[in-house]
Amino acid sequence: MPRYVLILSMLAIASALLLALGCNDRGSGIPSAPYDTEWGLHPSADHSYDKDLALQLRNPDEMWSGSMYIPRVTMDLPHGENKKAPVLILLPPQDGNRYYFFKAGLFDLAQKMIASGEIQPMYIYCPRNAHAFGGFFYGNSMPAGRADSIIGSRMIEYLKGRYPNIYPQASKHGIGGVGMGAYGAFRAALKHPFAFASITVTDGPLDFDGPGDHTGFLDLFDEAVAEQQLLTAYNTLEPVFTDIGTLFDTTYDTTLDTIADTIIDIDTSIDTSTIVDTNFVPADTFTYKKFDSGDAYISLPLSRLFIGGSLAFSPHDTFVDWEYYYMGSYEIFQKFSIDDSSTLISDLVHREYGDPADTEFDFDFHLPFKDTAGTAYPYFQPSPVIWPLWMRNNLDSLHESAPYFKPLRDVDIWIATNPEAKWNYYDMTQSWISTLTETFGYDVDVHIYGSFTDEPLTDDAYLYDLLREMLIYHSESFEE
Amino acid sequence: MEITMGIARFTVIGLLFLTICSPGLLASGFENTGLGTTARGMGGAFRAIANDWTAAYYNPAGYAFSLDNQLGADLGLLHNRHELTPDYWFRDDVGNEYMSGIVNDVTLFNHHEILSNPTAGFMVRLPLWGETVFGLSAYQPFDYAISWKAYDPDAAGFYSYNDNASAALPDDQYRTDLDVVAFQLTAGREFVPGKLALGVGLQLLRGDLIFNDLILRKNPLTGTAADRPRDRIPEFTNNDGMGWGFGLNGGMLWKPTERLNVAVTARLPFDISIDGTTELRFVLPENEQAKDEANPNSVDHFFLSGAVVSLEADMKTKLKLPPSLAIGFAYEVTEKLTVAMDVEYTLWSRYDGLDFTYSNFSIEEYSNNVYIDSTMDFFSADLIRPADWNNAGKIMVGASYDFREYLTFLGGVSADQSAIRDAVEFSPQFVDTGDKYCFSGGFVAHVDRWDLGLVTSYTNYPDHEPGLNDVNNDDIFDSFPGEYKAAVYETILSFNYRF
Repeated sequence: MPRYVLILSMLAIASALLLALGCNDRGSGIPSAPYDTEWGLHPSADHSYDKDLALQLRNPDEMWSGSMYIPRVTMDLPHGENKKAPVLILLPPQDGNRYYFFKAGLFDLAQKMIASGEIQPMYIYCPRNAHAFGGFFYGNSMPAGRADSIIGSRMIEYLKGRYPNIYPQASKHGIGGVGMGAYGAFRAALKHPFAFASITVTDGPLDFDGPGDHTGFLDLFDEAVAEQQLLTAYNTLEPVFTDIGTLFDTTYDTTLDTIADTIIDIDTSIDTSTIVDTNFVPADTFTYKKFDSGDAYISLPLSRLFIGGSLAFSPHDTFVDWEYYYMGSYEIFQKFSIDDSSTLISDLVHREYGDPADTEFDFDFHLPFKDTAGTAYPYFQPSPVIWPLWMRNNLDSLHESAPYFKPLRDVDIWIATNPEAKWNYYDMTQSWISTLTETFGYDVDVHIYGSFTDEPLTDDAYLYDLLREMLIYHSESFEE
Repeated sequence: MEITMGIARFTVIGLLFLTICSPGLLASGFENTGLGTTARGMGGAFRAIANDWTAAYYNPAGYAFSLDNQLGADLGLLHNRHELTPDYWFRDDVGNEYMSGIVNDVTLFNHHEILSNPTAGFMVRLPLWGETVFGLSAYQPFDYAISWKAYDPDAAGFYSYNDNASAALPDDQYRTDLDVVAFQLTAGREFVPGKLALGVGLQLLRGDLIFNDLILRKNPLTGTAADRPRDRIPEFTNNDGMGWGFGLNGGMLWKPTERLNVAVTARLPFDISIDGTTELRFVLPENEQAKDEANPNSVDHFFLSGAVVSLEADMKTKLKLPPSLAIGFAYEVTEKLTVAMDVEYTLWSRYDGLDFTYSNFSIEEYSNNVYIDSTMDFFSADLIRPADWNNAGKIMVGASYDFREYLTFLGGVSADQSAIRDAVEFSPQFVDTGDKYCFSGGFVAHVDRWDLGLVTSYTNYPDHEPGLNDVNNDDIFDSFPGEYKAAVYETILSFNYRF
């Protein structure tokens, strides 16, 4: 008899081992898309915009990532009430990522304000700024991508397709931004009239040459050069340029650098071939190649700002005639470039692979100021060749070239401003407010916010408070 | 005699039913791990013992020394617990990586399935040709089953290809279900009484093959319609067919001393032509903007529409099976303890992959679709899956210990060389990541005329990280890059009745 007991015991043990080791179902491992059944923050509302972002720098997947706040009422039953809601797009400033606004408390803010009825439920989409150099002013060029074309049309179409409960009509679509994102919001609205019903922004580069057309960025050229230690005797009469040939590497992580786009609605396009400034004196003191700025140089925000802007507004190649060749391969037939070697920054943004001598796909660009310093402050003056290309992208120029008269006439505009805003943004903002109200005749709701003595305005110190005001403004606009 | 024949008839019917319904197992390449609890419990070192009906598989000569008629069957329960973390990126000609739609950097699992492998057979001593022992058995000398899902644009964040693509995807994107069942008539006879026996098995082989594949085919168009991310179009194939063939299995068993047995065996399966059907599904890219810019009556317009094109066709392929040679030794250390060692060498280099030829496409659904007509070369392309496998050796060592008259303990270990160890064509359909070690153990209980066995085993595989390769330059990638981890658990239950 004991042998049967033994046999049964061993059978039981073996069966238990079999079940324990081999029987649980692990599934396929494929992650499921959370937005189907969940509301709240959906951090991966990414979308690829081929052609428009085909050749954006450091973005080979042509991807524009973003995060979406999804109000509960829009979810299908039983998770929500299957109701429609408006959508607000918020553009971050330089170096802002998809979490920029959420880090400032947007999620909790939206939850509380919707729950309390302060604002109506709304989708809030927060795309990131571009990777390279902290962003390209949401401008349009080969290396920058066609950002405003996307924001004003394809991005909305994508959002409506992916979140079917977004109201389709433009009267339920709003846009806002901070810093560079403020410029991007106005830019997208100006180039796509009737796409948005409301705009809310904070201080930003809203008028490149500032009040009186002689401040704004014009005052920042020296600061950018000094930031790079190229101008060690800043504010002295005799600027000294240091040899920093080994200090600033001209290469950076180019794994995401890519080849250029083509069929681009190039705001900065000039007649394809030649612009030569015969009065220009070539540089002999230093070269702009040292004016480097990758992610490793995030401590040089102004330098990166000008490079990002230059890649958007004054790229060396204003038009490229290219064709898809075969898998992952492009053939460039012809390039049209700005012919101005004095402001040209070459060999800075390039591909990592292949023959380094093959510069066909490299991106060069032109800085907006001269390469030689004067003897008095401000030492660096705008380039007569390149600066006008930037000014073509100034908001007042975009307004004047808009396809419709008064393109913002049906848009509710709200601008928050504070004298402590960095980089002359306050002056630029005041100038744009003045232009909007006095020159173009719009009504603008200006929100002047103060900073406390013990908490001066540094970066986003008051963003939480501003977001509250922005959400309320959009909510009220959507209800109109 | 009448009872014996009745049992035989019942067994034949039963084992035919079981084998036709069974899915499968593995060893090196797609070879079965073996059968029988005694053999598997000893790590497969059974050729020089071969004292039950499973000798039909290990060494037919063993039949000759059997004093009893036997009827037996066993059931193998096997679980592949594999993992794959894909690293499947395309790289353009300037070196930039871009997405393929494969879910990268996520640990994927093969689909959960407890595979069953029933086998059965009997052996009887008949007064023909001088006490020759005959047997009839059915088992699977080659057997492999696994399936995966790895392509999901939504989960991969590859939204730009086709927003609706994920809804059109099959679950069994990469799948192999290969069964080769041998219906074997075995004869074993002593040529030197008590010393030397020879045996031979004549096999009728039935091959069943389901082979699902995902091919990221090069877009046949040029220009915008084929621009990234549309440069590769996913094609899902579902090949399902069967065929018949023949095989031989022979062996010699020599007893030079009372305690020592020596065996030499050989297997020679012939090729099996597989005929069947295939289903092809193409998920075309979707881009409204580009489609609007294309001529509405153009192939470009159709290829930008996001359509799902499904076709059916007849399929043919050939399954090349590897011969193998083996030697074995068994030594009776004491009356209770027997140790054994086998060495097997399988000529896997003979297997060169699977080439599927398609014909007789059923395209009535698309009879008015000029776009498909004009690109039929693309939609009807044959599937070629090359393989450059190596011959592989296997060493098996085992022991059996008769603890009591009613209980025998078994233990064994084997070292199995991978046939795919150097092949660059590594895919999820055959996960043989490298040289592996199998540990097995169990017991056989003896109750009157019955032997009831239970053995469990664990096979440990090394990790493997193949790259992305197109070995025959046909613009179809022949490997699936990523990190593979593999382990196999198996339990075998058996009975054997002596009469």
